[in-house]
Amino acid sequence: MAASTRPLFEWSWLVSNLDRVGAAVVQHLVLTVSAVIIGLCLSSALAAWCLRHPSRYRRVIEASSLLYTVPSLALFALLAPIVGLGYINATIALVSYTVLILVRNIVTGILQVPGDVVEAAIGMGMTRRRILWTVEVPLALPVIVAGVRIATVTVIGLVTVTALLGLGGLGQLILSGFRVLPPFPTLIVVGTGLSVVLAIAFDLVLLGVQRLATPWQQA
Amino acid sequence: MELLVDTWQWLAEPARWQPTVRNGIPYRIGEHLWVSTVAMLIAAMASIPAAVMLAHYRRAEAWSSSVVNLGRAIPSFGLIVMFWLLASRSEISTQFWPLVAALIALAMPPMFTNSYTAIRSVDPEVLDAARGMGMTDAGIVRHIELLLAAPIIAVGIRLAYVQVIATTAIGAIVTDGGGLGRFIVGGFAQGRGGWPMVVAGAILLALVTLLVDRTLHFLEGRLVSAAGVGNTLAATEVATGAAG
Amino acid sequence: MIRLEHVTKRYEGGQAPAVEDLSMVIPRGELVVLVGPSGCGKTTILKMINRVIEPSSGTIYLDGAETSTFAPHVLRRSIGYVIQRVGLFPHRTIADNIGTVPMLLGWDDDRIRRRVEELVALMGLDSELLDRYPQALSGGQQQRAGVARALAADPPVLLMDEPFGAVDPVVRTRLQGELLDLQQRLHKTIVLVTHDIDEALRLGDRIAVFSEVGRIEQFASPEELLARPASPYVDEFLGAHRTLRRAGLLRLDAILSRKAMPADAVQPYQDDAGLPRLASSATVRDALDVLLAGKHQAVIVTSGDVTVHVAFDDLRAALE
Repeated sequence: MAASTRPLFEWSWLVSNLDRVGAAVVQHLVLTVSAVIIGLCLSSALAAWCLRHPSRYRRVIEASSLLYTVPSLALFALLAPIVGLGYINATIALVSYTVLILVRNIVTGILQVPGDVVEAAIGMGMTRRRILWTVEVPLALPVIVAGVRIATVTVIGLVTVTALLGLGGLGQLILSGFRVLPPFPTLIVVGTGLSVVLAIAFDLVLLGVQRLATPWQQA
Repeated sequence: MELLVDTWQWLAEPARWQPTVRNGIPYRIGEHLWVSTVAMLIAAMASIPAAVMLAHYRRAEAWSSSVVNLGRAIPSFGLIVMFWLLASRSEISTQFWPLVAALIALAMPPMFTNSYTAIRSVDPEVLDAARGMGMTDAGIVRHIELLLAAPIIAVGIRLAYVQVIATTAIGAIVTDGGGLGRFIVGGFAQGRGGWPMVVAGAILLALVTLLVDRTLHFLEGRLVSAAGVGNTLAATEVATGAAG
Repeated sequence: MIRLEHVTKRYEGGQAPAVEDLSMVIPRGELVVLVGPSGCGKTTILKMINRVIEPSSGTIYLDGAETSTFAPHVLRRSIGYVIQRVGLFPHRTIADNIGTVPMLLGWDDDRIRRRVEELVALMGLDSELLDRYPQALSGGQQQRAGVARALAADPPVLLMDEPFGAVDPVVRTRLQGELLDLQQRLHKTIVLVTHDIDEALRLGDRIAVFSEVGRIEQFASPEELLARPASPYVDEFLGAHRTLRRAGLLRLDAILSRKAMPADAVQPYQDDAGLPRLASSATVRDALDVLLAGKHQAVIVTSGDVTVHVAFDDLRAALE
């Protein structure tokens, strides 16, 4: 059985290893933010493409649902022979998980803009491009940002799994705490706890961004 | 492409397909589905009835819709290791229940919020008419709300199930089991030589997950035509919180 | 002002065309109403004027120029457009909404602000609504804001597609009256689509009645329509009580000119003190209503320094 057990949380360790923890947080964020941003760009392009032809939307959703169903561990493993283990592997997998959420939310967001508003805009002589950027996107923003929130929180959780690929981040702290004998609980607690904190923090910040961007809804 | 050949050979090995072999494919698949299903049953029983009742009586509205967001914030990997940690410090065996507990904790929030939202979105006019006819609360829940909300609840169950199956695989890191995850994790540990097993395991895992997903989707379809309601694309959107 | 020549609109799918070989002229400064059952193509015609829908064939002229020679969005900025559900931008204040076309045309901020305030006063809207968002306004207020928005760049032409369909009857009547007052002041060329014949009769200087297949059955003034419907279809579309409704369109002014007498020469007619008085802006129908309700044989109508007795026979004669 286990040798002498360490306490569940050692504050002293945390204080003297802030740089290590900090580095892990930074690595975690780099992976998260890059995946979400790439995912957003890709999804916007896909969404724009889908909006022109409704039949494409169904197919895109089906394809990305399929990808979404594949467990992250399996996806990482399947990508490994092609792109090795590392940032590219993780990013490809993470981006594909965000695509389902984001494409759906972007398309739904644009489609729920009231038809009479767009019709009035056309009738008044706005160009299609102007309508998209000054009418449809602002009004679709709440739904789109909701999707970004979900995608971001999901990715933060998935990034912990990338530790198995040898990448850093908070998952690495968790893994290190687990692989040592006797197990080092502080690492595990800090890794998991910070992951939750990051997720909640991003969620709240994005919620704030949404509120700032939609003053007409607060009225 | 040599890897593909090796993977195929690994999969084609007849000894692996013997049901009695402990590290064989049928055993691992069975183990995987067993763990996942036990966790799902417990999670469903713990979350769905409670959600239905709260939704029917219009309670805990703000909290119920946000539970799923909180659940999403908890990393599955971290949770598994945390439960393992707690078990290893006590007398509990770390092979089965810690993993299942983590899976239950992960499956409950989405199913809870999903079921809550599904019941709440039942047309209030229908409820009004039912009350007006003299139906009791129990009657309304049984004969109206559950029937109308069933397709959406079914989607929530399916999505949670898929998530649990995926997370069970990660359980291979902390247990000797973990079903198909064992192949992936074990293969990784063997370095270059273990890659065929890794890829094979990944393919099997992906296939099993898709199979469960499609089967449940099919059953959902039967449920929808029986209840005569809505369309499941919309239901999926509610379940994954697509509109927020 | 607006001339349509052999305009046709065909949609894919091979059914009958929505509009077929339509030619009509909408004179400057008139309020022309397009009325007919759903699916008769009246909205399609309206939308072809500002090219929200492009004609399959035929030409449309706006003040002599072919509309197809302009870029669509440029054309539309010179035409006011009002739709049933208004379509105010929910994410912009009322002031920004109204100032949209001037903004598109590049007016400077001061000019836009002044124009917006002018319009709000014109439409009878409270200026404190300017900084609110559309959700805060009532249905009637939103409709008025929508009309203000359409008039912002002072376009000579206004297109209105069932503008009052989405409000309740009381508000609708009031808005119709306001539109008539507005037109008295502004003399725009207005094309208005409605399925409500009574609204058409009340508002239109001229009315085009469409049949289901998109053909114009009659294009005439309300009085002409009611007095001499051109076909059984128009007759049926107008509905019952045609004469009474005509009576509701005819003001008593018309009779005054025939029977004028100076006020001090008013002759007593039985019990003169008891005769009801009506303003000259009242209609023949109002007079009939008064006569039917009481025991009087006539009413007294005054306009300026002229007063007359108007009896039942006079009213009947006016309707011939």
